[in-house]
Amino acid sequence: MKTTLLYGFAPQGVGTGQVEHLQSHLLSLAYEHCLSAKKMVDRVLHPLHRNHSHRVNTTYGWSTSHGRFMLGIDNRTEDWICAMEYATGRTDLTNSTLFPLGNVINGEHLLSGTLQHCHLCFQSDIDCGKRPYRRLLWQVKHVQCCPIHHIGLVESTCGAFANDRVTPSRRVNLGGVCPGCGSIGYKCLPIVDLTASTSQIWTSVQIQDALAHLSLIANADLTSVKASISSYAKNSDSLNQIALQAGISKSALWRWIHFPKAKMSLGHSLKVAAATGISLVGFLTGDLMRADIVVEIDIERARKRHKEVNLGDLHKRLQQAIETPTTLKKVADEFEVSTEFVRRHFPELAAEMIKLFADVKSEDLWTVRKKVFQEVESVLLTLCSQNQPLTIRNAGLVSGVIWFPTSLQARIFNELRTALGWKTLGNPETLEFGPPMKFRINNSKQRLRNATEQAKGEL
Amino acid sequence: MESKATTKLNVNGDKILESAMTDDALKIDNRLLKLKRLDVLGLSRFERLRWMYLMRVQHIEINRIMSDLRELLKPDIDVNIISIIGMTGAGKTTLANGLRTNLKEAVFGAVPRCEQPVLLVKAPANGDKSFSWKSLYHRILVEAEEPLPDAKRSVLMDAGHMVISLNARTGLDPLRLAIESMLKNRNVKVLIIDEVLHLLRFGNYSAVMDTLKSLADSHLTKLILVGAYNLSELMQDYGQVAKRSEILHYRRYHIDVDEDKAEFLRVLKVLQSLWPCREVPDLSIVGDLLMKANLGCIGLLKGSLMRLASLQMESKNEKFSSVLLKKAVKSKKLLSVIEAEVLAGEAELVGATYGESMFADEAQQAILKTLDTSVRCET
Repeated sequence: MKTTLLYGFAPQGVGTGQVEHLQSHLLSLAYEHCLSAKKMVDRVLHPLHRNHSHRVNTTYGWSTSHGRFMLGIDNRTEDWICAMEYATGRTDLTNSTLFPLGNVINGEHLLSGTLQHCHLCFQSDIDCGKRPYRRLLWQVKHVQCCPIHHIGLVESTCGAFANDRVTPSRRVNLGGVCPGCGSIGYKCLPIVDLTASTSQIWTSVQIQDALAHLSLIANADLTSVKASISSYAKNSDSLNQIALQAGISKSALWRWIHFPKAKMSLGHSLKVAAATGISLVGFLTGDLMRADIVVEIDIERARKRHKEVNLGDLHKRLQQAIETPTTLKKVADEFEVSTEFVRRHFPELAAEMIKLFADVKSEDLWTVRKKVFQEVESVLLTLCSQNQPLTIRNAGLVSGVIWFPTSLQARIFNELRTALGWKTLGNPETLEFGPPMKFRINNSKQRLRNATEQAKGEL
Repeated sequence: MESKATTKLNVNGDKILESAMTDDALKIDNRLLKLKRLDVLGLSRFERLRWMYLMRVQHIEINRIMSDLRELLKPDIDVNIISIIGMTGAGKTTLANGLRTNLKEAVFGAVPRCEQPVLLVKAPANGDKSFSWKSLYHRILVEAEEPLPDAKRSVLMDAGHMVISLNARTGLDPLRLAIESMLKNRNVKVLIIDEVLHLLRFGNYSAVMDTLKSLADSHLTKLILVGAYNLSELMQDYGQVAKRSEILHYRRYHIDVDEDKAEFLRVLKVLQSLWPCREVPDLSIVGDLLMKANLGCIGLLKGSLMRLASLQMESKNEKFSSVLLKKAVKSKKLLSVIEAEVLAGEAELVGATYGESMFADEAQQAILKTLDTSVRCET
């Protein structure tokens, strides 16, 4: 079998969240072959598309935009992966890009526009005797700090004075080497330890975990992911609650659930994962049982409820709300919490409130309906006494208020006028009443017949 | 006196024979290797001679060399440089080519596509007044299928900084760095250098051997140097090399030794069965004479038989005649020169090759027998 064009050593950190990205691996290959990266790309990788059947179309974009075309989720990245896997004989280079994430997320705001690094990670590479390399993690837009050292990432620029810089013809293009002055590990930059916030750390840890499980995410079925989230939403908060807590629009979440091919951005996925307490990997694979990663610091999640709730006050208010029937939602809104929160902390009180309000509601409702029956009966008797046709228009004229055809008055009117010999169909099927109403309607019909007979008898 | 036409025919015949006996791979080789003798008889003269040349005959001496090499190439054996020394025309290059295939399959087995456990390169003789390391390095990179061997550059590392060297693309540095990186990344276990004489022709043995030794040490790659008897002096006299090296002697067969004679005649019979003409001479009748005429060397024998076959092909109706034998073997004077060189070389190598330690002396055999019987198993 013919030997591979290029060496087949693995990208550093392969199989972990600290995996080397594809462009850094390409630069390492060029360094090991003692070639300039440009020559290797021009004369070894570019000719592949002429000689082989698989689609390979490498562009010059590898050097501009910091190799963004090599790391994303589009066709250009796929071409690069194909070319490099063919040239090196490896089959795992796709995990050095974000291409597997394209299965479940869209490419919106995915990659950062600048190169950034963690100086402590570079130092630990040097201490281990390895050449410092660029992690794929650092090129994801939402990652602002190192998940290992908990310090902010710094932009990879040259910090050397002009005199210490190297002429362009002598610059080395390698992942962990400053191209400006050749400093290994970017030692030319002053060390500034930017403390990362807890939410930044949580985000970077989640993305690191996702990069460690790229093959799992690549095989996830988007339909079943959405089904899992959808069923989760039914069992706990509604979709609207999740959207509210995640800080994304309800329509975006709804669209994602209901449109089979819709994909969410990584940013939105992080927010939804944070709001629902699921890990990012669990969200992207639909494995809701996957425990969130334990991080050794307190993490404040990006939830919509920001206020600390005094549970004692809430308890008192719920007890008051029972005496003067108030809905559970009103109480929850007063304290700026969700109904689920109240139900979780005070399940018995919440259940009692729900039941109580339902009774009160139903009692009010029958009072209202009773008045409607009385009104309709009165209108019918008036129309009969005036020998007017029993139409909804005439009824509106008598009552002084227009009755819309789907209003309760109009529907009851439809039912009752048949008792007075009006030969038309009753309500359509969609407007049919249930048994309690039918019982009352029959009683009302009887009353009307009795009244009309009595009126005829008097005449 | 031969006519001009006959002379021209002979010259043409020599050219065909010479091109058929080249070590370079030809396009027709793959097709020819699949054919049997009867299929070959209908082909052109060049193709028949090429087919005969490609046919390899295994014999005891090759098997012995291979067996010794397998022992010496084990990773825990502290031998970095192995030299295979034999007489001119013995078939050392053929052996080296065979080693490349056999070692890959027998010693290293299945390896990933990105690795090359065995490399074979021929030291260049480019007519310069001094040896060109650049040429050798370039050949090694080409043999390793290294991309763009002419575009290598070197990178300097100094005080935590990396810059491209000022003479990045000139000099030996870029090629040397590229070779060291290639040996490491392709996981090259064995580097075979054929025609090592070309490295040593211009003296300064120590510099040559130091360079070769450092090349071997860079990635624990074992070197196999293939050459003639003049290599043995260097391997024995240079202490640094002698410490971690072994010599394998690719011997000829001696007519006085019955086993050698039997093996030689067996090989002759096998070569006869590969005769590329319809009329096949019974060469076993002159087996002893052929053994003397070729100094017991299989390589010389094959060369002689190929020349004989070529002469037969040139004759009318490809008819065999014993007269052709006179021209097929080397002249007496030439043979005596070669024999003198061989005898001197063999004398030089007595007691110097792998396995010829003091325990090989007959005087020590009795002690060794006692050692065998004294071995006990501990339970």
